Amino acid sequence: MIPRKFEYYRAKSVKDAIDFLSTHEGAKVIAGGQSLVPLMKLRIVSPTYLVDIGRIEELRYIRVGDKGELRIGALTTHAEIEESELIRERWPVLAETAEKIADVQIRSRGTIGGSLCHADPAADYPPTLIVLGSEVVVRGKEGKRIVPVEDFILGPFTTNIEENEILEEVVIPPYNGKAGFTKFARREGDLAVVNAAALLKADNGKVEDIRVAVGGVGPKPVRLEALEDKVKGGVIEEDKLSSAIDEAVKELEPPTDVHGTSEYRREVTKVVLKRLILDLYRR
Amino acid sequence: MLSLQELMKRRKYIGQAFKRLEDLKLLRGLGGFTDDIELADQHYAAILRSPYAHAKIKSIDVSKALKLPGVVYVLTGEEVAKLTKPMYARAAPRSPTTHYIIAKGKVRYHGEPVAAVVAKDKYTAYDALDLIEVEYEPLPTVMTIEEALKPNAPLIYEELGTNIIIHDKFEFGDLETAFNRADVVIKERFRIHRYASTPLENYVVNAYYDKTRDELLVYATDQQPGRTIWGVSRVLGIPPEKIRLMVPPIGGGFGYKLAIWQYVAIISLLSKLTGKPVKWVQTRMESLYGPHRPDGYMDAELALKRDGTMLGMKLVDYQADGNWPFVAGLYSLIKFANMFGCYRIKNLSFEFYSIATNKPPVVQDRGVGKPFMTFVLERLVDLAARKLKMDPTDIRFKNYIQPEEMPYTTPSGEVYESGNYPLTLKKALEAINYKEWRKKQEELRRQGRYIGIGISTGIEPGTSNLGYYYLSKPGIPTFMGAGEIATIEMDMTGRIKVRTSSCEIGTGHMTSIAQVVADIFNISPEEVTVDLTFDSTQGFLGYSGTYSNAFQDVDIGAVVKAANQLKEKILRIASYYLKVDPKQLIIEGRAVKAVFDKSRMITFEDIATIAYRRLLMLPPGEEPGLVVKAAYMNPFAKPPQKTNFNIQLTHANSAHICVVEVDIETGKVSILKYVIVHDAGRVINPKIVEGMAIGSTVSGIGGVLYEEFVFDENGNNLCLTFGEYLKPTPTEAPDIEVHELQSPAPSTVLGTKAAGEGGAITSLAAVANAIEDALSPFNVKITELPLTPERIWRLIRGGKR
Ligand SMILES: Cc1cc2nc3c(=O)[nH]c(=O)nc-3n(C[C@H](O)[C@H](O)[C@H](O)COP(=O)(O)OP(=O)(O)OC[C@H]3O[C@@H](n4cnc5c(N)ncnc54)[C@H](O)[C@@H]3O)c2cc1C
Repeated sequence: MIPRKFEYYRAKSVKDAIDFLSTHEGAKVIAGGQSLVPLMKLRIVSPTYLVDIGRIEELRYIRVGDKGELRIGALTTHAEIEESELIRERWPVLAETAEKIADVQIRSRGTIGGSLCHADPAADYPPTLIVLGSEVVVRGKEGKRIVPVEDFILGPFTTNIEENEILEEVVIPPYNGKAGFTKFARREGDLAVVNAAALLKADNGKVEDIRVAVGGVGPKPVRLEALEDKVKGGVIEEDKLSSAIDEAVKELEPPTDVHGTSEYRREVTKVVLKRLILDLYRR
Repeated sequence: MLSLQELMKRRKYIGQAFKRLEDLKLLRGLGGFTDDIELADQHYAAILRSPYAHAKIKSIDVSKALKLPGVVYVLTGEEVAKLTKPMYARAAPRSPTTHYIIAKGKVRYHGEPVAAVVAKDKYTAYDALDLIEVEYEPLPTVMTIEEALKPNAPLIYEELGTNIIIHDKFEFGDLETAFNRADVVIKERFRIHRYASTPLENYVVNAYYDKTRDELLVYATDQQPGRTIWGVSRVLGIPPEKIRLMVPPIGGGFGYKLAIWQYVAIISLLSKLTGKPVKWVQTRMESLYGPHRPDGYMDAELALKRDGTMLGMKLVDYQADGNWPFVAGLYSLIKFANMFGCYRIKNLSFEFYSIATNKPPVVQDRGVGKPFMTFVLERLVDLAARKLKMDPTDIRFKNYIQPEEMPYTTPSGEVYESGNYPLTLKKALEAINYKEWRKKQEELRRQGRYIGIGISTGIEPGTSNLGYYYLSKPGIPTFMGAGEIATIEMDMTGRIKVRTSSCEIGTGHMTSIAQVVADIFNISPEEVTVDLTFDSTQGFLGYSGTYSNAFQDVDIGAVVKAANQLKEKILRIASYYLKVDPKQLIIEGRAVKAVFDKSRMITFEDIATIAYRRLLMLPPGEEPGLVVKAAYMNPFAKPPQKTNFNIQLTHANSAHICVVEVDIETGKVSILKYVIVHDAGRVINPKIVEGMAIGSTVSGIGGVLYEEFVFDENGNNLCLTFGEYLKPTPTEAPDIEVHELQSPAPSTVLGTKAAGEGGAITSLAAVANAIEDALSPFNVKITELPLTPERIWRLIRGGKR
């Protein structure tokens, strides 16, 4: 519970941070510190330097871009997302996701950029961001690149960001249709045993489009395209939906840990998905 | 001496929900805890812990650690074994002889201390731990009782030749006849898991061995300092009078801080070896390594007549509590205090095994063995009701000890001094509107929702008669009875100050004591200073401390006794000065006045002036000064005899009714309503007692639904952060409604009784019974805790609709 020795550097700008990271071996970015500091205290991670990007105001914003897309600066906290009127009105599912994360204290410090870079397999944003077709903007020495969230997260606690890159921004296209997020956890605010998000467009009971993603039940959050294909184009009946979900869940390999076995997680995933989709469909 | 009746008649503050006096400081961050104290030239310790549950220590190389700048000392088990005596079993006929405060030769649990470092700062101390090289040879582990009892099981203590530390059997009444007469016998094996209280403040020890005076000064978060001085003195060979132990207010005790003495010994030894003041602050991870409550199981049989009358009970208790021999047996023996519950059971046998395994050590956590005992009993009663097709309330009413039987002596000798068990349940049923819920349950079931109502009624014993530790050990018990010391003084300006030899663990001692003393001197509680720091130089008894709900009995007893003596002295001085008979004097407005002419008066300040400075104005023969020390013991403790003994000396009781809803697809439980009727005798501060009933119940709910230490196949504890070990937080705690009954105890000075453990004791069965009731369409039987969503989901799948 006491970290190893490290030095501290407060970055003045994104460029400054990238320069520092490029010239100091073992240096690591700290944003809200809500995932990094616990790992340091457990001595699982021991950076030589902490590069604090917390004071870089240019990374803290919520705004709508030219094409009507939502642009969120990496340093925006879970609480700011949860409380943003713009998001509540036009991307409500994202606010509903943010409010399910951890507790008030952690939501007030933890950032969306930090959550994505930490890449906990059970993190709450990814399923929602995936069904909304979101991307992240990553900046390095050579400039910036844009990566879909689905491709950004590679596995447990691994992303395709380089050690000297900074995640700058999350970009979320506008959506129409009904979107929902749901989470099953042991306690309010625990990391999910399983979480799921869905986006559903229906016309007169006929499903025109559906996107579904789940987290916590594998090395990384995944979209369930086979399930989507089965549901698309028709009306939803509970029995048929259940068997489609059963099929999709068979493909998953959820982990076993103290909060639930793989077998149990699989069963709960079925329940969670069925309830989420039916709820959106009937909403 | 002021009689109880008089005090009760005149009281202004006893019984009032007076605002806690300690809160202003606490809320401002001025609690003044042990970790707030830094000594000059302070050094810091860190402890290396075993990564194995069972392994030989082949070698330890500390040379690299010693080379790290800032490191002053590294202590290992080899050195400890040369300098100290091993820890011993208090309750066992034969004690292990190889268990030292730091492991020597082999480790017996994941997290056992293997070495300790002293450094100039705590960061260096922890860095040094990474540099200690230990070579282990893993041994086969014994993680369960079943494994420990196998004929060729690996031994935790080779010197004993067995993993059974204690085995004993007790029998009361005529069991054979009882079971022969029975129409039905409910027979079940119930299991309890490992869980633990986790106070916000962890263990903290700051020790300084002063070589110029050969004196050890220790600050520690210790709930039982009297015993610690005894234990540390014995292990380190320092005479008790050379040990000054101070205990500042503690940030939560819950019994967890009864096991700190091992660490007081380690840190004190480090100070003695280095000559430096050494401080150790346990990390959260270390706190989760242990101690815990033990896991175990009980084979229980309840014999009944067809009409629900209970005839007899057979219990065989197996507890995995023998791996830290100091507490072996206590979890079983204390069950005598409430094994009969609220019921008129006449015939009973109790056999127990205290078993050593490679699970971590055990401590007397909130309620000790009593929560599991009540879980077993109240589950048996519900299972019996199901079998006999009776309502769970009817079977309880049928068997309750009646109020007119009080004081009631159980077949083992426990004396229930007062209480009205039928009324307690009746009030609870009214408060929750039991019949309405039963109706609602049926309605909702038709909609596919599963609601259950659980009832549990239990005894909440307090004030341990410590002789019970020795029921299975031949010879004269090292400790017997229960007592405490209090000091009260009026200072030179007439202000009153009180201290007891117990510790403040967050349960409002300052306020409760101030309320009582205020009524005795007819002043307000704010005018009473209560010193919350335990200081062994002020006098203490062998088991002084705060545990076992003894505060309301022996602490208050000592305070009242001392206050009355001081009051008499003040009245004698005033009487001599005013030339008025003491019987004609009253205390009012910080002065002593003649009843018939209040202008004939002398102020507290003037009385103090006489006592401290104008000594020649004292009545002839009166000693100067106004300091009184009084010791009190509960007069009803009996010496332990296998056929007749009282384990605890007060017996509060309560009824818990819990309504749950179970999501049958995921197994998740929500508590919809929770009502408690609590009878803790006369209550000094109802708000404090209500708070304890709620907190204690939430800790029980945690034990049923959330908390469990899980170990892998190698014996590694998998729950070493609060991400794996789940405590209920405010979002999980239901609104708990507490109603009060007051049946004063005739056996305590103010009629008070135990108040802090009832929730932890009685809630387990309330929640479990509710869940089983909710799942009755699935024919589910609950015999095991915790009821995690997955376990409930499995029960539902395993049951038949
Ligand atoms: C008790 C607890 C409960 C939690 N519960 C939940 C939950 O229910 N749901 C959930 O989703 N999450 C949960 N979390 C995680 C939480 O959301 C964290 O806040 C978040 O994962 C990290 O954000 P941060 O800003 O604090 O990142 P930090 O801890 O500062 O950093 C995390 C990692 O990301 C890197 N990093 C941070 N920002 C950037 C950037 N802009 N560019 C490049 N790298 C960066 C850091 O170097 C580090 O490796 C919980 C955490 C705790 C401690």
